[in-house]
Amino acid sequence: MTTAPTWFSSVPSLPISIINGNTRESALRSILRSFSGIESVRVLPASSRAPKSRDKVYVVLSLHDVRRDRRIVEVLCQLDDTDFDLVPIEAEGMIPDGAIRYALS
Amino acid sequence: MGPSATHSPNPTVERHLDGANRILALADELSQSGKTDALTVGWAITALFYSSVHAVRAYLLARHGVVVSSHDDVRQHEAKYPELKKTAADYKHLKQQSESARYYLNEKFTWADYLELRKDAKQILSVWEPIVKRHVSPP
Repeated sequence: MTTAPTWFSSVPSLPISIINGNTRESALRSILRSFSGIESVRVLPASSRAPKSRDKVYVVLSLHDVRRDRRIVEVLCQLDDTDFDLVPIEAEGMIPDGAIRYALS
Repeated sequence: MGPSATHSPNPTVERHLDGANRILALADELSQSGKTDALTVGWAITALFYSSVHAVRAYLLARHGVVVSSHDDVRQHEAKYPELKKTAADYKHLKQQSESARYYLNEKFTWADYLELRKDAKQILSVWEPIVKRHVSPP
């Protein structure tokens, strides 16, 4: 069974905007609200990534824009115990099934 | 008998630095090849990332005597050697775009993207190369 990451909502159907979270989640929400062309976020909890001990965030991108990506990376870099990938939407099928999807609407 | 019996398994500082510059030059050659297909652009961007990999590894080896063998190692060393944060965003951005091209097979990259990302690779090299050279050839 997949365990939801501790720093994200345990209820994937909830919009991110109404999830109560900590500093890291707030940083991520800030990114998602600020930039266009982000289709969704998927999170693979550390419990599904043994032996790695960090959650992994997949930011699914519907628009190609490396300058925007740079700004996303700058914020995600601040989440020291979280791995991340920026994934073009055409490759979303490559994200592990266990990654919980968070819609942005 | 394997190659490890006759060769050092880890590159020297000089080889890392030379590799960083040569790979950057290769990326530029690709950008000037006249080709515009996504595969060529993507691998030029990947070369930018690996130029930066060697620049950072040259610095860590020269300044701290640390041999880096994986991308996860770099993350650990960023925590231990905070000066690496000077180029952390550049480095991770290049890593992301490299993976987008070679792993996620993103076919939307253009040479304009390459030029944007080259600024990151050049920045990483310009930060670490002078320090590495001072360690290799002190005045």
